[in-house]
Amino acid sequence: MSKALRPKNIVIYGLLAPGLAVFVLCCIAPLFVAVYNSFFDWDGGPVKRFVGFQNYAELVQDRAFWSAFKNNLTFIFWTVLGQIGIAFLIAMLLQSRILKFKNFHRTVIFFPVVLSAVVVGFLWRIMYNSEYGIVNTLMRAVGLGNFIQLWLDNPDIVIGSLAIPKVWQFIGYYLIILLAAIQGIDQSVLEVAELDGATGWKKSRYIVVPLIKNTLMVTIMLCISGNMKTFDQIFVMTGGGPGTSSEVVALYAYNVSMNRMRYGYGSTAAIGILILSLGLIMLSRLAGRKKEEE
Amino acid sequence: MRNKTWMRLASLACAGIMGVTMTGCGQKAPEAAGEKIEISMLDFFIPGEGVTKAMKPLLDEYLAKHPNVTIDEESVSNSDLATKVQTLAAGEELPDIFMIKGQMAETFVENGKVFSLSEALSSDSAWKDNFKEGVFSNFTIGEKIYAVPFQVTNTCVFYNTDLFKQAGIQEFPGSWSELLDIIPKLKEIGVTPIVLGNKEKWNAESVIMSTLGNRLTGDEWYQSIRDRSGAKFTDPEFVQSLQALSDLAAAGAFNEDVNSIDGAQQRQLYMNGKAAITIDGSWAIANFDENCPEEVKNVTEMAALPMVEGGKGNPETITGGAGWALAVNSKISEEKKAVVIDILKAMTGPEYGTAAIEEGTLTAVKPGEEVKIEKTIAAKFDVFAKDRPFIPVYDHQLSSGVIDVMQSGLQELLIGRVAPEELAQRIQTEYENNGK
Repeated sequence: MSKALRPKNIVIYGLLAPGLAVFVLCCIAPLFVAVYNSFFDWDGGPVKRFVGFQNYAELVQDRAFWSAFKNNLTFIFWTVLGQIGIAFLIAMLLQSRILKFKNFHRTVIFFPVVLSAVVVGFLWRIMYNSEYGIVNTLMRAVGLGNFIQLWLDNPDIVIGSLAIPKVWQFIGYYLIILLAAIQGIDQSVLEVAELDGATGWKKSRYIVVPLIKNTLMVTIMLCISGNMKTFDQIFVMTGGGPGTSSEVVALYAYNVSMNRMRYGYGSTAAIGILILSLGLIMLSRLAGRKKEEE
Repeated sequence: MRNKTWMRLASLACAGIMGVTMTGCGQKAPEAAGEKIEISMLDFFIPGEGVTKAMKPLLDEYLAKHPNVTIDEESVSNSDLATKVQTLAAGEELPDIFMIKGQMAETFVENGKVFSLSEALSSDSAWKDNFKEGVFSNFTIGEKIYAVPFQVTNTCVFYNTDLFKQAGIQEFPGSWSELLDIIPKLKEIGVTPIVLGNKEKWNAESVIMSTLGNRLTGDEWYQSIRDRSGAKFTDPEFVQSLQALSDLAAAGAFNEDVNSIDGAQQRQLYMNGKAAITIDGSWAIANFDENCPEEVKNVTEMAALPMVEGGKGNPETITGGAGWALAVNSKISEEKKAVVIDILKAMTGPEYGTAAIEEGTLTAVKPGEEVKIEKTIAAKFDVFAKDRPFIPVYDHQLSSGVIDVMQSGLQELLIGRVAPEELAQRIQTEYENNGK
């Protein structure tokens, strides 16, 4: 932007300030409050006992927390695979010449993103219902009766069943990002590749993926962090059940704070989520970078 | 027209903002007698429920008589209320009058959140004596009463005699082994023997386990658990009670999707005649009377949970107790105190007792006059529950950590994913580690 058009710094900061203030107040400040609370044994009353790192020591040994983290990892595995994988396929389809009504498809696929996770959760709970749910009814109708499952009652598949709505909901979000990245690729590169015989699968694997790699890394990071803190939809659909087989860390932190009234330890669990998420993201970035060096 | 709606919305928003700011500085001005007093209240009296229909007119009547008093009331659903009250308590933002659950009482008292009502109750014996016996027990900590109950809840078995006849069963089984025997017969006629909606986790623990546990352990064991005087969850009698439930589940008594449907869906299935037995709380009675088709309503009978062979409990008992009660903020100002007590009296007097029975809910308060119950299920239940001894509900009294572990564990037990011994050990570990 030319210097003459650029508003004064004070205007820029002035315009940024309200948004920043809200963000700091609602997102950053509570984080520090949680860090502070995590050093106390506190059940919500005026009596707060300082316990230093005792909560953290307990958390490291807490099997329920780690089993919840394991559930998170499974959940992340399915959602990363589903959300980004399917979004990539659709993005490639939208780029190809076979598909008609591209704008329509893009809009419809983006639709669920704006829905509230609670609404999606309730919707899918009804769809999964074993008696009158549309999933089982459809399967029966097309003769797949043998594959009917108790989607939310079987501890072995419950995480997968919970991941499907999440995948369905957020494909559109990643689709938009990936589409933008693919459209950013120079058309001449693609044309040359096609002339050289790189079509279909080969084109995506050797031309498109390497060229949008940075964007892919960002989407994976967004996907991991988004699904580490997943809470609302699982809360609505199973509440962590059966037993604790779909309890994720955010739900565990909530249960510890709200149901067992251990706010200090609940805060510790929340900080645990933060640390583990950062760790996961660093890992994913490291893995990405290593490949680049090869 | 459009413009008008918009204006109305805008004024509502302004009122909302004003409300927020005003509550913020509500405590500033000292209120002299006769001056305007605003009492804030948080409860679950949402429109349409029996208890609301009984309670609301009494509150309105009180307000009409005392024009200087206004009540700033917020009503949320039962399940949201627990979270809301605890959150407000943690943030030191409790209203003047709020509701607490039995299991919260101890923590709230220890943290000095609630005002003791003992004095107010003893200075008005007419008020105190009009409460039913034992209803204060969940809210009495160290000889002092901290909340006034208004509702009692019981749990029992509701069964469809018509389906029983079709399956060739003469009467409701009196023992656990007989109960196990009738399961295949009921399955044969194509109905779910016992329907249970345990998605919210408390159902199995509250409506089945509290009674089933007592059938085997008797009162002494439970008292000892409460006093921390030696009893353990790993004691054989409690493990046997888990085993009994596990046996019942293994026999295929429950619907397959037991952990993914909720209490409302559970009632639905029973009312549609798709299940022969439902074990539920007295809160279901008003719902049955209102929504149950006549052909199911008329053949519904009640029974106590069958006795388990070799148990120490009394087979006649059903669970009963005041789950929620009205408490007063410990930071209540002197000026408001008298008003708040008056409001509580208006809410829990004999008039409430009468109104509540007419609405088909069970009250903690004796009615002002003899009431004839017209509704089918409510009348049957009244006869059934008469003079029955009550036993406590686990989640009214045991610490939240223990209850949380038990409830999650029962979900697994119902689908055979945990052995009774292992679950007992888990509950015991939580009891030793985190109970006070």
